[in-house]
Amino acid sequence: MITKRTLNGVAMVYDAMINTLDHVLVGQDRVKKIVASSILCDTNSRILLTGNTGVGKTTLSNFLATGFKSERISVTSDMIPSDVQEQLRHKTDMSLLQVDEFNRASGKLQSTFIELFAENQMTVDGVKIPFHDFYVLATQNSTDIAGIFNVPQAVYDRFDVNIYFDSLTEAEKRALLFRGFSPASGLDIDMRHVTATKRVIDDFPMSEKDEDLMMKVFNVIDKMILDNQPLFAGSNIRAHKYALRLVKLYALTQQRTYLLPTDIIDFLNYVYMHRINQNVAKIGDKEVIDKFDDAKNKINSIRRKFF
Amino acid sequence: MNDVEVVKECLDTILKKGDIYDTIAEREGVKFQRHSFVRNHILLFSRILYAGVRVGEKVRSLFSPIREVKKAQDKIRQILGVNIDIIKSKHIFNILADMTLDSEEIPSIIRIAEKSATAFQRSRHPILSVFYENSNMIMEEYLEDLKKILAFCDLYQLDEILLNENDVISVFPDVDLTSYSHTTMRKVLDCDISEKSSISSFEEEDRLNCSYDVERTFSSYLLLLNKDDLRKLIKQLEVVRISKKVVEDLGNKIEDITVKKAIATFFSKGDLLNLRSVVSSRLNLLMNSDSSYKDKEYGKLYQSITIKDGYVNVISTKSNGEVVSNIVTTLYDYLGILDYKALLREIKNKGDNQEVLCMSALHLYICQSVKIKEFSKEASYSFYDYIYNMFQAKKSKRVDKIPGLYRKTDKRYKGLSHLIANAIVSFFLVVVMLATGAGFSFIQQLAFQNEDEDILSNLINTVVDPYVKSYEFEEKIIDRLFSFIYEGVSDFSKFMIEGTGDASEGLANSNKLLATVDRIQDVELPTYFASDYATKGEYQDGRMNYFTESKNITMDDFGKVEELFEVSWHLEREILNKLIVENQISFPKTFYPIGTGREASNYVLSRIYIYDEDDKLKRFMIDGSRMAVTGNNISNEESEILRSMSNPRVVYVYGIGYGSNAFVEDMEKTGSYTSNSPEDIRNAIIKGLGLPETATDIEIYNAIASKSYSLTPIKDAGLSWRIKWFNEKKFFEKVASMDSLICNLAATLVVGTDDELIYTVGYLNQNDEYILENEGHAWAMSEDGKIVDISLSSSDDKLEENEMLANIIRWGVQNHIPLYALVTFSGYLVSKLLGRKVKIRIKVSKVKKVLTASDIEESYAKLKESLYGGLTLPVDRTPLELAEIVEKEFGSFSIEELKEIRRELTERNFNSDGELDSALQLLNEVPFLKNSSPKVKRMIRKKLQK
Repeated sequence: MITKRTLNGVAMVYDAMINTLDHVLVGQDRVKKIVASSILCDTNSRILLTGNTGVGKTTLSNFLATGFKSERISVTSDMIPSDVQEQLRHKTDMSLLQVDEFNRASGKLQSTFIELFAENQMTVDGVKIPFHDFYVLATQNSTDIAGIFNVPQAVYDRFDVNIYFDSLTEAEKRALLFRGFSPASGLDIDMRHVTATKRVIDDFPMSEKDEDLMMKVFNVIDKMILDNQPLFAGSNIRAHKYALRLVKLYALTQQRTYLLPTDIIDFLNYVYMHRINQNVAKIGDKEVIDKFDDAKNKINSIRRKFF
Repeated sequence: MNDVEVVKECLDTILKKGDIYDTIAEREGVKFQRHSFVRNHILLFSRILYAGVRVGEKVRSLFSPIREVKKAQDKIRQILGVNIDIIKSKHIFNILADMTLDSEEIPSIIRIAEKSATAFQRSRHPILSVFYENSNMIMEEYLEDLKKILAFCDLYQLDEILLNENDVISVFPDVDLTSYSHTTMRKVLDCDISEKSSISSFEEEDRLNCSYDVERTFSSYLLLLNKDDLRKLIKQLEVVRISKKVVEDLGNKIEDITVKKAIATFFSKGDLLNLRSVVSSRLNLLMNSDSSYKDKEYGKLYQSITIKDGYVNVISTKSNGEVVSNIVTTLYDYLGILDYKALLREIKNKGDNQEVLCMSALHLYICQSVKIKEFSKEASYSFYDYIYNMFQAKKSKRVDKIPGLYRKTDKRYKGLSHLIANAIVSFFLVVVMLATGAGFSFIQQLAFQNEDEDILSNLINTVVDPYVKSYEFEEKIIDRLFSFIYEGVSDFSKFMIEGTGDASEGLANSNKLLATVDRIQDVELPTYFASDYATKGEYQDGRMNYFTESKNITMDDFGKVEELFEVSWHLEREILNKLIVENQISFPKTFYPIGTGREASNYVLSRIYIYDEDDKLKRFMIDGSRMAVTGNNISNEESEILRSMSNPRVVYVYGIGYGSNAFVEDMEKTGSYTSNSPEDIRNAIIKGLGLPETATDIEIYNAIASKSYSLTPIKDAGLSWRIKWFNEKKFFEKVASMDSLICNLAATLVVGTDDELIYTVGYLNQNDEYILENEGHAWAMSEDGKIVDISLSSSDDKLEENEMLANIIRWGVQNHIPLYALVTFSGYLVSKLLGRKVKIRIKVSKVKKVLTASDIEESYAKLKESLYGGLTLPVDRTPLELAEIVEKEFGSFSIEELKEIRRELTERNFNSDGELDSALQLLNEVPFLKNSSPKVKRMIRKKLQK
C-alpha cells in the first residue's frame, strides 16, 4: 500500500536525482527528467542517448556511471563480439553498462548486444552467462555523420528509451563557456533508494479506472502504429510496459496514486519514436513528429472518469 | 366619428406633420436642401452649435412620425376606396416653373407674377395634393376612381390632383391631354433617383413587396389638375370611353330616327349625355308600346316599364289600377339574356325584337353596365407604398438605398454650386481657425502656395475645399459619437441573441443527452457526427441562414462490414409514428459519423434496429439485404409492433469499409450561400482578417484558427446592435475582424472563402460515449468528405470591463449626457487604442496572483483528489511549474468541461469549506494559460519567475 510517506519518499528521491543532474548538465530539462525517471523506474532500463557531438551525452553517461558498479565499452568499428565477451564475462554483477558510440558497432557485435540487452545474458562458447539487472547507457551521435553503421530495428527495439539531446541555447552556451560551469564529478546515489522506488512502482495500485485509462492510451498509440505502417515496425508490448512504469513513477512524483492520460505525454516520443522503421523515415522527420503530435492530441482528449 | 370627420383629421395630420415622403426623408436625413442656407450660417458662427443642431436633427429624425402618417393615409384610402397618395406640397417654385403657360392672351410677365404670388403663398401655407396612378386599369374602373377622387376633393376642398399621364393614355388612347398642365414627380418631390436600389432580382422585389417602376414614375409626365380640370377630364374620358365603332354598328341596326339623329350629334359634337338620354327614353317608349298581357290569376294586366342605367322597373297593374307586382330587375334578366356578349350574339343571330335588342345594347353600352367579369380590379400599388416598403426593407438592411428618396450626396454635389457664395462668407471662419492655430487637417489643405493654379482657383480651393472637408469631418465625428452613444444605451441583452450568431445560453450550457455511442469492438470512436448540410444559404438581418437538409437512408447506404460501434438514441413515440407512413418506414441520416481519418475508408452502415426499452421482445431490424428485397416497406405486423413501442430506441450500427460515406455522397449545394460573388465574399473575409489580397487558404484558416473561442463573439465585439444593419459583404468582413468566434461563424467564414465547401452541422464528440446537446457543432466539408474544421482556441477571458463601460454609458446618458458621453467616449478611445495591452497585463497579474496564492498547492491537490479519488498530496512547486502542470492536466478541457467540473464539485459539496476556491480560480485561468500567444506566455513566464 502506498502511503503519504511513500509518496514523499519517492518525490524526494526524484528531486534529488534531478538536482544531481543539474550539476552535470546545463539546461536539457527534459533530458534530465527522462533520465531520472528511467533510472528510478527500472534497474534494468536500456537508455540510448542520442545527439550531436558535444551536447553532453558522454559527460552524462560518465557521471551516471560513477554512481553504479559500471563497465564501459567504447565501441569501435573493428570491435568484435569476443572483445565484449572477454570484458564482461566476469562482470555479471555490474549494475550499469556504458556503451559509447553504439552505432559504430558492427552487425555481429550488435547481435551480442541484443542478447545482452534483451535477455540479460551472454553466450560465450556455447555457455549462457546470466547477468543481474543492469542499466545500459548507450550513446550515439546523430546518424548523419559518416562512418556510422545502420543499426537494425531489432537492436533499437531493445532500448526502452531513446533520449534526444536538444541543441544548447545561447544562455546554456554562455554558462558553459563563460560562467565557469564544470560538471560534477560523481553521482552520489543510494541504490537502496533506487531499489525502493522500483518496488513502489511494482506495487503501484492500479485500479480498474487506471487500467481502462491506460488501455485507451495504448490503443491510441497502437492505432497510430497500425495506421502508419510501414513507418512503424509494429506494436510493442515491451514499450507499453516500460511506458507504464514511467507513467506510474511520474504519478508518484506528482504525489498521487492514480494515473492521468496526460502523464504519458512527456515520455511518448522517448519511448516510441525510435521504434519507427528507419528505412522509411528518420527520427525527427516532420512526418513522424506530426504523427506523434496527433497521437498526443488524442491522448489529451481522453478523460479519466470523475468521481 | 363619422367618415368625414375621420378623413378631415387624417388630412390635418398630414398637413401638420408632413406626408409619407417627408417623414421618411426626414428620418433618412436627406433633407439637405431645405435647411442648407441656415446650416451654412450656423457653420459660420459656431461649429459646435452646428454640431448640436445636427445631433438634434438626427435625434429628432428618429421620432419622425412615419407610422402615424401612414396610418392616416391608409385610413383615407380605406374610406375613399381608391389607392391615392396624399402629398404635402414641397418646393413649389420648380413646379410652377414647369407649368405650361395655358394662354397667350395674358402677358407672360403677369402670369409669372401671379404664379410667383401663388408660390409664395403656398410656401407659407402648404397644401395637400392627391396623387393617383394605376397602370392596370380598365376604362370603367379608372373613370370610377377618378369620379371618387373628384368627389373626395370636393368634399375636403383639395384642389390639386396629380395623375400619371401614361395611365390615362394607356386606358384612353384617343384622349387629348394637351390642354392640361403637366409636371413631373421630380419637380413635385424635388428629388432625384440617381441612386439605384440594391435589389437585384424580380423575385427579391416581389418578396420585399417593392415591385415598382420608379424610373417610370419619375420620367413620366404628370397631369397637374385642379377640381375643374378633373371634372373636365372625366367628361372628356367618358366620351372617349365610348367606342364610335360600337355606336356606329348598333346605330346602323336601329331604325328609330330620333336615336339615329342623337348618334349623329354624338359623332359630330361628342354629346354623350344627349345620346344617353335619347336612347333611354326611346327604349322606354318602345318597351311600353305593347305592355299588356293576360295573367292566369289576375286576368288582363298592364305593365309599366321604366328603364334606367341598365335596370328595369316593371309595375304590373290590373285594369282597375290595382298594383299586382312591382319588380326591379336588370335589363339582361328582363330580356332573358345572360350578359352583353350574349346580347350581341342574339343581335347577330337576328333574334326577335331586333329593335329592342339593339337599343338595349346601346343603352347598356353607354350606361357602363357592360361589366366583363373576367377583369377584376387589381389592388394598385402606389409610389408612396413603394417608398414605405423600401423604407421597411432598408430598416432591416435588406436594401441599402431608397431610390426616389433623394440623397445628400446628390444634393451636396448640386449644392456645391451654392457653396461658393457661402464659402466666401465662411472665409472668416477659416481665418479664425488659422489664427487659433487649429491643427485640423482641412486647415492644412490650404492651397495658398499652389503655384500651378491661378489666383481665383487658389482662392476657391482655399475656401471651398476646407469648407467641404470640415463638413465631412464633423459629420464623421457626429455619426461616430451618435453611434457610440446609441450603442451604449441599447439594451445588450435584448440584442444578444436576436439576429446574431451568438450561442443561446440555454443551448450552450445544455447537457442534454442526445445519443450514445457504444463500442462493439475496441476502437476509437468517431469525432464528427453529421446531421444536416446546407444546400443553400441566405444572408438576412445580421446572420447567415442556411437551408439545411439531410436525406433518408437507402439500400445503397448499407454495407457488409465488420461492426465496430453503434449510435443510438431515444425516439419519441410520436416521432416514430411520423417515420412510418403507409407501411413504409424512413430512417434519416442523422448522427452520421464522418471522417475515419484514413484514406479510402469510411464509416459504413451495417444495419439499423429499433427496440423497445420497456419490452425488449419488440424489435425491428433493417439492413441492406432486407432493403434490397422489401425496400422501405414493412408489414402490417411490423408496423403494429413499431407503433406499439412505448419507449423506442433506434440503433445505427457502423463499421469501416472502403468507398464513400453515405452522408457525404448526398451532399450537394443547390444554390449559392451568398448573393454576392464568391470572390467578393472571400475578399471581404480577407480584408476583415487583415491579410493581403493574395492570402492562401492555409493563411486564411490559420488566421481564423488564431481567434479565441467565445459563446457570444458578436456581443464581445460590441456588434450586437449594429450587425443587423450590415449588408452581406460587410457582415463577412466584420465577422472576420472579430477577436473571437463561435463554431458556426468560423464555419461560415470557411465556406465563405471557398465556394466548393459545404456548411455542415452535427456534433463534435469529445471522445466519449455521449453526444450531448452542447456538443452541437458546425464545420465545413468538401463534397468528397474532407473535413475543414478550424479549431478555435478556447478562451474564457470575457472581460468585465466591457459591461462596466456599458453601464457607465447607460447611467451617464440618463443623467448627464454631455459630460459622461464625453468621458465615456474618451474612455472608449483609450480602451480601443490601448485596451488590449492593458487587458492582457491585468490578466497576467491575475494569473500570477492565483498561482502564488498561499494555499494553491493544497487546494489543487484537493481538487484532483475530489475529482479522481485516490491519494493526492500537495507538491512543492514553483508557480511556473504549477502553471505548466495545470496547463498539461487541464489544458485540453473545453470551457464547458471546466464549467461542468466546477458545477459538479459544488453540487456534490466538495467545496463546502472553500478549500477548492483557489484551485477553481486556477481552473478559470486555464484557457488563458493555454491559448495565449507566445509573447503573452513569455510575459507570464517572466512574471512568474520574479
